[in-house]
Amino acid sequence: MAKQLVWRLRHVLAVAVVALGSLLVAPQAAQATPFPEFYLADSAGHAYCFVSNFDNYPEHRSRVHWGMNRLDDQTQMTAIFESCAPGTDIWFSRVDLPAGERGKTSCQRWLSGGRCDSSVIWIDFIEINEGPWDVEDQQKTVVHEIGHSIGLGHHSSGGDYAHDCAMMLGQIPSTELKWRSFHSHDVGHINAQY
Amino acid sequence: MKKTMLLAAVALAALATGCAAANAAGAGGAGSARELTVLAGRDIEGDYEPLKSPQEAVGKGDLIVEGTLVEIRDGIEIRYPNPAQTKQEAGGFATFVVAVDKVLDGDAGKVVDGKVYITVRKGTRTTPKQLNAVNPQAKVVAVLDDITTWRPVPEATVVRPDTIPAAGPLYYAYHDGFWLQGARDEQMYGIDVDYAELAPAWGGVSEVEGVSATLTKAATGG
Repeated sequence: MAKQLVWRLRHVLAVAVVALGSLLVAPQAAQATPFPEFYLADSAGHAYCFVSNFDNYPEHRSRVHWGMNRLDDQTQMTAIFESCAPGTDIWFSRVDLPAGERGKTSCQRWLSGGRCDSSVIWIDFIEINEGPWDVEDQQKTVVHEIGHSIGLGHHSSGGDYAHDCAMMLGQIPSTELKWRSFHSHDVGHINAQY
Repeated sequence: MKKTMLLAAVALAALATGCAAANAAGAGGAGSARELTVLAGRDIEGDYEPLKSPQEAVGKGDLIVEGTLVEIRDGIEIRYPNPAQTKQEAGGFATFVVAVDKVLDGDAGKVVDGKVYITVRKGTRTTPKQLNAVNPQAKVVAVLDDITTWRPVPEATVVRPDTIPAAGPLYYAYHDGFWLQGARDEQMYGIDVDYAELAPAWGGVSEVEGVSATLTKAATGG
């Protein structure tokens, strides 16, 4: 009986130590990249559409589909393609951006709780083509901007926030898939949020 | 530091200092450009090609100036054939008016009445009036792209507000080529960019004066 009590106490103590340890470790891991670093989307269903300036550019539409499929494949979020309506989560616009900008994301309609109802993502495919790998670089910027639309910031400015992923700035260093993908750490944040 | 933390810090600082009252005098932000740059970058993010060196900045920029941010006004509006798209993108810009002290590179004749007008993309929750209220009359150095005839797509129209001279040039700053510093700041601030992110070729500059000197040297072949 006494041995059983000692064993139980040891067991309880061991469980407590593990629980305490995980409490101490988990926040540190989460702080590797804070989340959200930007505004949050309204739900796990992430609907997107093209404005008319994409009409004659099927190759650029395919980059966007690729990026949204990447979101769908890598996370528990769902990519939904539809016609543009006021509440569509992302309106993709194919534009000329000034001063070396490759892509831009902004929430244009807000819900009362502070979440974003509808963003615009502007992509300058011509600017992106400055690099050696046009297709992969375009895919990267599409994924990068989608990342902003769900709460991610930049992760390649050095220091604690360095991640090898699509959230880096500028041209990709190689065609490796990781530069056109969300980092597993960020995927954890996304799945926990949505 | 990440945006969410910065925004929270700025909100607390604004409450603590009662900066709204000070702003009425036209020198907000408690002498710092930090709050202004955080507000200007709120709700807007993007991917851009960083300027690799001062030489590259000189090569790319149409005009490079040093001066003082004297006012923030309403910005351009983009009109598309589809009214729904126009509505979706409304309220996306402000105009930063910079009184130019020095033209570091480019055609000095492009400076109208001593000023340049810089279009800045902003989030829709932030108004030019809010930005102007926290402007500490910051010292500025800006690498600028001339967007006088720019349109995002050929079928769009760029509409200037009445507060921007109709005939003068209009500029847009390179993301990591636009630095602001208030009188009380010991460092410069960019809009959603930190000086530590500048490439090594910039020589570790952390203040407007340093960037200006580096760009001047690059512009003169140094």
